[in-house]
Amino acid sequence: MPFDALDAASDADLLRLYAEGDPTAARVLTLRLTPMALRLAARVLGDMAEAEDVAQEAMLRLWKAAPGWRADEAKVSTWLYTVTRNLCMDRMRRQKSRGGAAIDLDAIAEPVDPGPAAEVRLTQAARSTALQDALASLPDRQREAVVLRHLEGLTNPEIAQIMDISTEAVESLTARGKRNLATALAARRTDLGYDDEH
Amino acid sequence: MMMNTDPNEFDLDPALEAELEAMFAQDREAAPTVSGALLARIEADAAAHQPAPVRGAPAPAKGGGWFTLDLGFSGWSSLGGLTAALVVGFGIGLSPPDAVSTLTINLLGGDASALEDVFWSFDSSLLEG
Repeated sequence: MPFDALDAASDADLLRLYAEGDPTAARVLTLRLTPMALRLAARVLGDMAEAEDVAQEAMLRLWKAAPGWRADEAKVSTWLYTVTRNLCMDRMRRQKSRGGAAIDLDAIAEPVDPGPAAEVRLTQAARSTALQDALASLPDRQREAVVLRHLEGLTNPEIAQIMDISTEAVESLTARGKRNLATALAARRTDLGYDDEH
Repeated sequence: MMMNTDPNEFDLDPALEAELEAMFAQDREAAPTVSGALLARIEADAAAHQPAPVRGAPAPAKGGGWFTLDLGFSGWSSLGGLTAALVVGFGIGLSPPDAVSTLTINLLGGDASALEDVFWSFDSSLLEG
């Protein structure tokens, strides 16, 4: 089926077409869902290479699940978030059991020039780094809840399904996560240029 | 992208809340982009694990109908006997041997007119319905 014709199809329909052997459906699904899995993995793991591996593995599990997929069982996106989140948890557990991975400075790519003036760019980069640091300092479940809600924009019921907890627990985790984030960032407000703005 | 609200969030100082939301917004905009290499790896996985295309309706049979089904079981050789019987029957119909007429008349009690009556009745019934 032509790419354009499939672009408006639902995730579930595309998955069914993929299972029936339509090669274009695989391409549309890849372009549509990979960014989602990669974003979540990158934010939770804080490592792009690891995040890419997780995203690939999550998509691989989707391909394998396609033939037996039941459209009434779960939303494809929610299923993928759940798998991605579980893969991230596995990696974090392995890292913790190994005592943490060493950071290879040479492997870190030079930041790409995003365009704004240098001062604004530096401030944005500093804030982004501070947010990532603060997120990394949160307990795992608080970080997941905050990322899914405030960075991925999911609803509390969706997050509850992904994390297999109640909606109330999600609300509690996100609220505590945000309070802890604010506390972690408070000490750096001046460095991040917030005092200049008030 | 819609964000959610819950009562606990109001525990934060509004200024801090706003700063945090601004940082979230910046982070959402600066989401990592997917590299072409990653897309290629994922598409290769998809191709490797994709089931074979589902066939639609079965392909139409070359000959069609029951005749083809019969050929499927026994082939053209099974038609040899049928063909021979047809040829012989056609030949008998065109010029029946005397023995056939005699046999038929004897079966009807030796009266040749009886045979004509039988055929006459049969023809009439066909014409009259």
